[in-house]
Amino acid sequence: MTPALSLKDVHLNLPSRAGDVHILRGVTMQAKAGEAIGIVGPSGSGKTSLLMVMAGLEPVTSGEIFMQGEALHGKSESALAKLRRDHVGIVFQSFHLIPTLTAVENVALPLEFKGVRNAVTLAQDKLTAVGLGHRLTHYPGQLSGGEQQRVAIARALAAGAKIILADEPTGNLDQDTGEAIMQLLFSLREEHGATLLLVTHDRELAKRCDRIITVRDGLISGSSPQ
Amino acid sequence: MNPALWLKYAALNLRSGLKGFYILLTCLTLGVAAIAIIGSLTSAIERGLAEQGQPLLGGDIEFSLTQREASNDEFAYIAKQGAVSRIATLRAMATSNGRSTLVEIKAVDSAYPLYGQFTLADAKTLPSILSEKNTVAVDDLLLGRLGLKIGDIVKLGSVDMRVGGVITTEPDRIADGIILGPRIVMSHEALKATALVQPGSLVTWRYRVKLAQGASLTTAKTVVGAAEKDFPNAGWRVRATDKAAGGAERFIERLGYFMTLVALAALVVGGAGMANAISAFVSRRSSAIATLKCLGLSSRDVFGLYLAEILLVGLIGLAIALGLGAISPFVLKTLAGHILPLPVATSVQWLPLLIAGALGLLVLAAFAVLPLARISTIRGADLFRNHLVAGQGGRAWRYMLASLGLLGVAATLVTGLSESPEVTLMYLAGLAGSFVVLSLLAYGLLRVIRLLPKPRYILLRHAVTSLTRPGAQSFSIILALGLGLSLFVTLALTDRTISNELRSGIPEQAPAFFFLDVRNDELPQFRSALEKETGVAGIQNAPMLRGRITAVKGVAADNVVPKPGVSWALQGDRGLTYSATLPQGSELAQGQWWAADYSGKPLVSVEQEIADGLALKIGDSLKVNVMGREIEAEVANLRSVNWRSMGINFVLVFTPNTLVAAPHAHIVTVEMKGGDEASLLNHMAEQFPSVTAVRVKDALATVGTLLGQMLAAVRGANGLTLLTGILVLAGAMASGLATRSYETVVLKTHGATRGQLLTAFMLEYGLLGLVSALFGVLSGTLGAWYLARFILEMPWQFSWALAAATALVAMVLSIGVGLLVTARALSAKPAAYLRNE
Repeated sequence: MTPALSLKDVHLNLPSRAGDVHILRGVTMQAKAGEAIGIVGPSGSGKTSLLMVMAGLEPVTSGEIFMQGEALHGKSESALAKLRRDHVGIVFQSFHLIPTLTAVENVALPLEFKGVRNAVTLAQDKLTAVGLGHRLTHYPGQLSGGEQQRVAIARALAAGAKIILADEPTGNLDQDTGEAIMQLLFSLREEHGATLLLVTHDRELAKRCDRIITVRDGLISGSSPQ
Repeated sequence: MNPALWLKYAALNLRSGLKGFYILLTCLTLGVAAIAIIGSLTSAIERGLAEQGQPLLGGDIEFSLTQREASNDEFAYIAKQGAVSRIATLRAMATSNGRSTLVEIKAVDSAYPLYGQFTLADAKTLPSILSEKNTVAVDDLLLGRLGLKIGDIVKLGSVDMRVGGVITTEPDRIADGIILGPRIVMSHEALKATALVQPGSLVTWRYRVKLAQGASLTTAKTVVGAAEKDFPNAGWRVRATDKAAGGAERFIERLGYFMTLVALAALVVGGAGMANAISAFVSRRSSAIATLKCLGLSSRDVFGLYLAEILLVGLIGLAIALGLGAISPFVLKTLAGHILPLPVATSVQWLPLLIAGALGLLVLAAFAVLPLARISTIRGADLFRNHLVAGQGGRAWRYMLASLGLLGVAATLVTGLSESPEVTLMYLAGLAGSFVVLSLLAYGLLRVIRLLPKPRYILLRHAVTSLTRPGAQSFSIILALGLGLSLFVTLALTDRTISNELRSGIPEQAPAFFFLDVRNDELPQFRSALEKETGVAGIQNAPMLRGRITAVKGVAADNVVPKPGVSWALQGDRGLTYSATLPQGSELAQGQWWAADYSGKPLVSVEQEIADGLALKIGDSLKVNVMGREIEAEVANLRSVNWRSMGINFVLVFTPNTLVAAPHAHIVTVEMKGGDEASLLNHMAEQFPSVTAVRVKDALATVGTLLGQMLAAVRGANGLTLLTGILVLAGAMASGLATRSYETVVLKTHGATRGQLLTAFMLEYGLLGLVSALFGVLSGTLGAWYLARFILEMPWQFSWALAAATALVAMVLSIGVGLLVTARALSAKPAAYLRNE
């Protein structure tokens, strides 16, 4: 079966004033379809960079990445954007909703650009599914942190993403809200049969995943099945 | 590409309001409104002139002849076309209460006016005035000048006339061309009684015709064409209502054109402000842009979405601007209709609005493309790194080309629609050149400042460093304010050049008076009377006739294409003279002067520039019509004429045997050193009532006033450019407010006092103003020098006082606006900023 994501000897160098910084130093890994992987490691180890290269947001210096069997290298910016639109949903620590759009518009926007006909109805359904049926026309500024993250999760999954990349999704939330968000994320992932790659500092959170990989100094230093 | 979705989400984004777009909106609205208002008013006046053609011309067609009445055959031909009104216009001197003044006489018949209403004060009527013997209707102005009241006597020629009424409306005044003195209207019998009309007198005879009911302009134009063919040698000027106010129309068109060019500068300067505002907008939206990219939108879609948002905001500005343009004719008519000498059509002028709107959109898009290009450098990955600073480079050249292309389309539109494409192109090139030069200078100077050793005085050091810190808006401020100031300096220096020229020309070189219509038989007495007057230092005279060029080298004048700048020589009547010797103030440029007793075929001497403009060489033929007689002369020589001497100079000088037999009068000039001009004028008017005197100082004052009014109008349009520059300055300052507040807080935390910070701000803004002024004065002076040297051909004048004043104004503006916008930064509370950091 084709893995949802596959990385082969991925290196990432980023330029800085002090010279190139070698952020990823040969990462090789696979994420099976429907698998949940927790990515942990100390600050600056390369966890977030790993997520970015997986999303095609950062071009790798060398190595290969395959998303649903399709190679990312050599693809134009537009092709990568299309691939992301079709297969990937991203959930950020800071939610990153468009402040000038309502909750339903935030969810509908990527659907509409994808060409989905009933985008608004679908967005409404998704928001109702995450418990925000009563907040459809609220702007991000009128929502609590937890609610904003629910909108972001609805947006990530609305277009039927098969890969969810989550970067510290509870980092800006209190413990109870964070817990509720994680429950929602995991249940929806299961419902959609999506692959989840969850970057977190919280080992307890990571333990909920099928597998944990530890990143240290740009390398995967360990992988442990739960 | 999803343009429909771009528009949809752009509109949704705008629900949150226009915050952050006010500078963009104001810059765009001001620039487009100026172009729309100028275009609308010009067009409304032109349309007004066209709609009111019949009353303005006083008929459907006018036949006019200089120095002679129509012959019987000619009159019969005119009368065949419809009802005729016969009018004579001439200049003369009016005397009363020991004072004399130049007046414009108009003798009319009972059919006058064929169209429109001629009205008098106190319910008097024109027929009642015309029917009373030696009674005239006069302008209110004449009463003031000569201290007259109704019923008083005014002397015209050798006859006393009674002032019977005061004119309130003269519908066809504009058709009579430039009016130098107050109008006097009388009957033909009264004119005859004055004996002012003598052979050779400068009288224009006008025959206005009212065609049969319902006759169209096309019919009238057909009659015009036929009249010129049927009487090719009549030498008459025949015109229909489309040329009722040719001079005024040209003046309005030209004034509108120059003002539009200046307003374009306001739009372009505003473009810098728009670009700044859009750049700040992209920075504010960086996070949203990165998010959209993470959601799978391509750079093109994100670019399209935000361009659509900018254009939608632009449409609001355009709607306001075009609305102002649309109502401007109605406002002008309501507020100033009663004092305007020109009719204004009260209707929406769609074409100028369309042009202004198109220019606004093109300029907005051109200035939006480059800052929006940063979208391609904002990456989705940046969202993860918390440093949303857009990088440089990428495919910027593509956007640069697109921006230049849009500006090119705008320039083509302006040039294509202008009456002088060459001048427009030069102006646009100058504007673009100034933009580029100012950009390079600003860039260079900021680089130099960065490299210079830092001043020791800490506040000055802070001010200098602030000019070049990352994110500083110095570049755009210098560019926008510098451009506004540069136009201001150009106009001020040009104003000064013209004023100096007008002033400096008078005292030593110019005569004090021109006397016209001095008859052959009275010339000796006239000269000797002048010689007896105190202060007369020199007298010159020359025979003078009126005639028009009808053919050049055998080609009819209508078919000759002259070089730009000399077409006037073929339009209407020109003064002609004859002379046995080379006239004073002329130098022979080519060929030989004829012998004093020359008696061969007609020869003519032509002014060199006119000859060049008409491609005339020695030996070529030139045909003129003088008093209905065609004269073909051979070009014998070319002269260069010093027109600035203001002596008696003519474009065409004939051999005496060609014109001496034609009835003509003389022109006499008088130079004065000391003496009383007013008393000389009164004495001469008393002794020679049929002679017309033009006081040079008065004529120059009239020209000066006209030029002053034109310059004031153009200066008004330039004021707008300066205002736009100030707006750009305010916008640029406002966009850096958050950084400035943060800096202030940090400095306060480290012990800087409010007074020290205020001083640092003032030093920084003062430096910005000074640098902008430096560039403004430099490029403005260059512009003024070019205008003086190549267009006006006048000695160039520089003014240190003006340069200093410009610098002062710029610094005051910069400091004033800067403090007004950024004063809040001084009151920023440290806790609010530091807690979030």
